[in-house]
Amino acid sequence: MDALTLPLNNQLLVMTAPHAAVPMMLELAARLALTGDLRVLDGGNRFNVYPVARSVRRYTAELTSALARIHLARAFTCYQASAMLAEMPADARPLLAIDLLATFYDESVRVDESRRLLAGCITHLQRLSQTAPVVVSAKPPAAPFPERRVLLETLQEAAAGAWQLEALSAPQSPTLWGMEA
Amino acid sequence: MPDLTGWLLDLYEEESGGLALWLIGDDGGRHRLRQDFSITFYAAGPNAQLKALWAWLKRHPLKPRLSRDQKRDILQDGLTTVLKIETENAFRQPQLFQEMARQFPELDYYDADLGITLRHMARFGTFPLARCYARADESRLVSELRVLDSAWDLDPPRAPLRVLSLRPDCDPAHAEPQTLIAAHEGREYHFSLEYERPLLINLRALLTRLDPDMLLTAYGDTWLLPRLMELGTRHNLPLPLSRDPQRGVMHKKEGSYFSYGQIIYRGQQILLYGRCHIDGRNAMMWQDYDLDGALENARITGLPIQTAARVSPGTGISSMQITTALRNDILVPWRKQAAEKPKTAADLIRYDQGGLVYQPITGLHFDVGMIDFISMYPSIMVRSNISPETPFPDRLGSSDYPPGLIPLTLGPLLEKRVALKQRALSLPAWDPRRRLDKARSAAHKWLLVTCFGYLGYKNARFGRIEAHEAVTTWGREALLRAKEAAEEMGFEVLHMYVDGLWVKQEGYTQPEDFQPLLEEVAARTSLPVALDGVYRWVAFLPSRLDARLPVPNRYFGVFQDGSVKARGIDLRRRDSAPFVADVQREMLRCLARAKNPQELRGRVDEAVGILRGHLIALKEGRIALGDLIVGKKLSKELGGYRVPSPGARAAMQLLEAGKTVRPGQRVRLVFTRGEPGVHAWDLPELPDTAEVDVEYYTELLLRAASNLMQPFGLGEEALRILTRNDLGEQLDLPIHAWKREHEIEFFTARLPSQS
Amino acid sequence: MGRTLPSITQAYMQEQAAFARFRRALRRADQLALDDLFAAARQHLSAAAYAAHALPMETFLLSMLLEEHKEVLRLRRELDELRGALNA
Repeated sequence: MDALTLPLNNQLLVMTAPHAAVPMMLELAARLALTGDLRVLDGGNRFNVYPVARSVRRYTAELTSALARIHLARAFTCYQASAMLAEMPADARPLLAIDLLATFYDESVRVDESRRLLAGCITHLQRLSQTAPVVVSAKPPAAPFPERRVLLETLQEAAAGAWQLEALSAPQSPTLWGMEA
Repeated sequence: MPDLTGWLLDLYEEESGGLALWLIGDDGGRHRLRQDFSITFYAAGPNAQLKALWAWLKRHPLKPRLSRDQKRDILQDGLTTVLKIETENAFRQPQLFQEMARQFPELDYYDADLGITLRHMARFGTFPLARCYARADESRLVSELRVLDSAWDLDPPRAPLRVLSLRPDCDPAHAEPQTLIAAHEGREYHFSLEYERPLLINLRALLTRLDPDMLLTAYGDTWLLPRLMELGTRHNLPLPLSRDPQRGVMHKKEGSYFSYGQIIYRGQQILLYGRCHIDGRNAMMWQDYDLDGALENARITGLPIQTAARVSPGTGISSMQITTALRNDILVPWRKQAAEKPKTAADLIRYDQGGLVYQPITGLHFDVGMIDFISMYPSIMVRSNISPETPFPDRLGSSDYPPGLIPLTLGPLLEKRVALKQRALSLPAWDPRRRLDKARSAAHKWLLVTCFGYLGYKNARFGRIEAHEAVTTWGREALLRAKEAAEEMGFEVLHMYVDGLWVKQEGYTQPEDFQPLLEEVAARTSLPVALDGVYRWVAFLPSRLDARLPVPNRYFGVFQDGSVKARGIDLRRRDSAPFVADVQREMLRCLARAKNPQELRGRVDEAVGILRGHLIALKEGRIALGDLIVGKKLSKELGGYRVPSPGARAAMQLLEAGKTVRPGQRVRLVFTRGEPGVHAWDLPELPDTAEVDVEYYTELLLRAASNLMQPFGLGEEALRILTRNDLGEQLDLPIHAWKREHEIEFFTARLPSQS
Repeated sequence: MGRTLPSITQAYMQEQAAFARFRRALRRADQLALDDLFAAARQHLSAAAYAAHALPMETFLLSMLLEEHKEVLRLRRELDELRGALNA
């Protein structure tokens, strides 16, 4: 987790991973909560508080106050995600948007409508990143829906920095005779 | 034209503008009237965009009337500035709106996509089969319309509906029907489907002569009416299915759609004008309530009868909210935008929960009272004033704020439900109103059960997650207060489940004994609560996998009046084979006859005998194939299965036979020996009785029976031994003592010597 | 419909799974005893849910202890009865 000890600047970062890097985002939320308030926009119904709590507890006994510093709102439709970002005031609190594109991949919303809404979201993400670090995690669309890929690409292009996390294979462990296959 | 009084049957938009109304007159006639009706809807958003919309609308051929206004969106503070758009052409308004939304997707729209009957209900108070008074001129244009009764009346005068039922002589999915059977007031007419011209001529004559208000069919949406319409076109003898000569029928195509990651299948629909068509096989709730329930549903929700019969209760609740909003001058958003307000992570743990679900004290218990809150969640919503626009309540039972949209919507429904329930207790068994009340209560129950879920539904116009969470929060509080009251009054709490608790106390065996507890609970929670009954005995079942683990919703028992209640065992599941469910039911009825613990032992013996008899019948091939049908829902497209499930294998068989199966549909099948292991039921040939996988069904039955016999010490293995033919009837029943701390120990252990 | 937090049963399963390695390395008889402890915690899931603890494992441990104590009380009672019967 070395990447998380880097100081976060006021910019828009996008992390792409097969499952939207949820564990990493939860860990990031835990670390940030140790020292200050933060905002979380849960775009895919992924914010499992329990791992966050366990992580916080490893660093401090002041669990309750740390959890009170995480301000979370959930978006269940892309319209909600869009409205939430539009209404969010720009301040110094970091923003973590977890699995932001999940509701934009919803098959019951037309692609061009999703694109329109996402464009609006990106404007606001950039606005918010002027005064605070904004980290967005996203996953690629499911295999049967390649036409939604453009949503992910648009988001990545708008970012000041974009990470792509591949699924890791099992770690190689050294043995007495060299690396184990 | 003289003044008319009668019942409103149908209402829809006319292509040239205004509405068509159909009245069943007191004079016995069916009258088609016209009514002017303007549609009003709104747009809101940035000024520049509204100006552009104004200009666009000014150029539109429909020439709507435009003005500025201030209206209330309950999900926002204060009043919203809106552009008000009015048109006299109700028929073209949806199209106008669609074009508008495409041109100006950034704007918010209100009251834009509402069903015409809902608008009419909000303005005039009408609803399907409302009693109305109408005054019209010679051209049948209505100048005055008054509604004479209310949707909430308990005993409204019933409309003299003329009902014609039509059904094929068999299930078209299974075999080609040969005859069409029409029925009206006890008389049946049989038409051969082979001779098409005479069929059409006769059916046409029948329709014309009877002029029914309602067409009740079997397979009408999916097979019968499309077939008849096709025949009519082919022979140039179109059937006057709709009563309105200027209209054909409305044909809604079938489709599968996504909802919450699941695929739901909806069959095609044939809707008529001036007449109602209900297909009993395609009606949502037809299992639970028939025509009377559907009519009650339409009455309360304001949805047209044909729609009410087909849609889910969620649509019904949404309609009720819409009409309440319209009546109270509240804007109805087109799309839900309002999102959750931020909460802390700690709050999420506290509020993101459901009802309290306890682990019961497993085993057999005697003289147990079951108490539950009547419509708990709706009651809380009404009494604590839970609504998207009201603040999170700080107590149970009352609110300092004026009633919000949700309580305004649900209040009358709850009242009617309670009134009918109370009446059900006092009506004698022979009273003809009982059957009607029961059907109507079922409709109410479904609407009420749905409204809570709807509050948290992401697409619900007036949904709000915080309100949903408020309901569960106070529900948990109410249940805990009930528990505290019970324990303080000396009761032992055996089990609790969301809105109900099972309690017992030594010496408390009669309903009157539980009355003080009921009153105390009602006082502490300000919610209506009732005694479901006193169980003579009830058995709470443990997990099938591990007897140490209690399972919340699996139990069965007998009330004092001899009636049986069971949850979570096979006879309740709709996909179980009828054979299994029937045997379970028979065994349960046998057990239910025991009046006390001593008698129970003999009944257990009897029940095992019943099981043995049916297993023998199964082995000897004497069980009807139809009773062995198991239903499996197809959860995805056939290509999506890595290893085909039994349902998928059966679906593939159907596909090969030329029948389509869509994801979300249920496939009926019988389990057979060898490969492929299943035989789809709807194939042209039935499976051979000799092919039935007797071993599999034996296991199914033993497992189901062990659910019942578990509390008496007989698990699957014991039953398997006991029901083997070779042990004969002389066997002493071996039942292990199955000791739990709170159970009365009354069986002794003795195992048979194995041969 | 908005449920984000895992149910208490899911949280319980996760905590149980987290001890899978520990369990594996135990002798068989000890494994069974450990299973009893976890089964005991299962009896009070509803209270654990209502407690809304950020670290539910603490509530599960307390539940295990609760059941153990109930067993001790029950044994004490039985012992007293036996003693009484002997002395009579």
